Parts: sequence; structure tokens; C-alpha cells
Amino acid sequence: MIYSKMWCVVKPSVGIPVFIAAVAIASFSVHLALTMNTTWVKNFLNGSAKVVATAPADAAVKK
Amino acid sequence: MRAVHVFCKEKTMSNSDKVWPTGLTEAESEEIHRNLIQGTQIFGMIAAFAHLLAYIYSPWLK
Repeated sequence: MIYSKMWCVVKPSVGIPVFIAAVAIASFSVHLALTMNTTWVKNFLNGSAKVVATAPADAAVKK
Repeated sequence: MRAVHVFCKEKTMSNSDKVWPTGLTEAESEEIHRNLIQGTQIFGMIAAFAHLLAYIYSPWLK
């Protein structure tokens, strides 16, 4: 298995938390960017009830 | 006899009993790596399943 001997020179007590932290930070960053830069995530998390409640109001404004 | 045995061991096992600076042997390092790869694969499968659910049940990519 490739790189399997890396733990001979990298302490697992350091390397594994660094690896897990890198995955966690990268994942959090992507999801934060998605939340901050799109509108549908907030609408989706607010639930469909609000969309239903606002839909007639929007329709009324359009008339 | 013991000297011969030690000599043969060193010749044939390519020093696999050597304890490296991290306190691990090559076999132990490979075991840790195997488990880390397996954990990553399980994490990846769960993440892929979660993304499938998000794709189906949210407006993502629609």
C-alpha cells in the first residue's frame, strides 16, 4: 500500500488529528461558502411553510 | 548457533524489526495506515450517501 510507511517518520498522534482536522476544515469551508453564496440553502432550511405563506403575497404583488 | 540465527534474520527480514523514530515498526505503520484508509473509505461512503440524499430531497443542483 502506497505511503504505508509514513507513520514510521510521522507520529500518528500528530498526523492523524492533522489529517482529520484538514478534512473537517475543508468540508466546513465548502458548506459555509455554499450557505453564504446561495439563496436556496436558507430558504430550504427555513422550511416550505414560509415559501407557501409568501407565495400568495408575491402573486398579489404581481397583480 | 544463535549468532547464525541473528545473522540470517538480519539478512532475510530486511530489518523489519527496526523501531523508527515514532516508536513504530514498519508492520505497525502499515497496520495504522490500513485502518486509516478503511476509515476514510467508510467516511467517504457515508458522505456520498448524504450527498445523494441532499440531491434528492433539497433544491441543490436543480
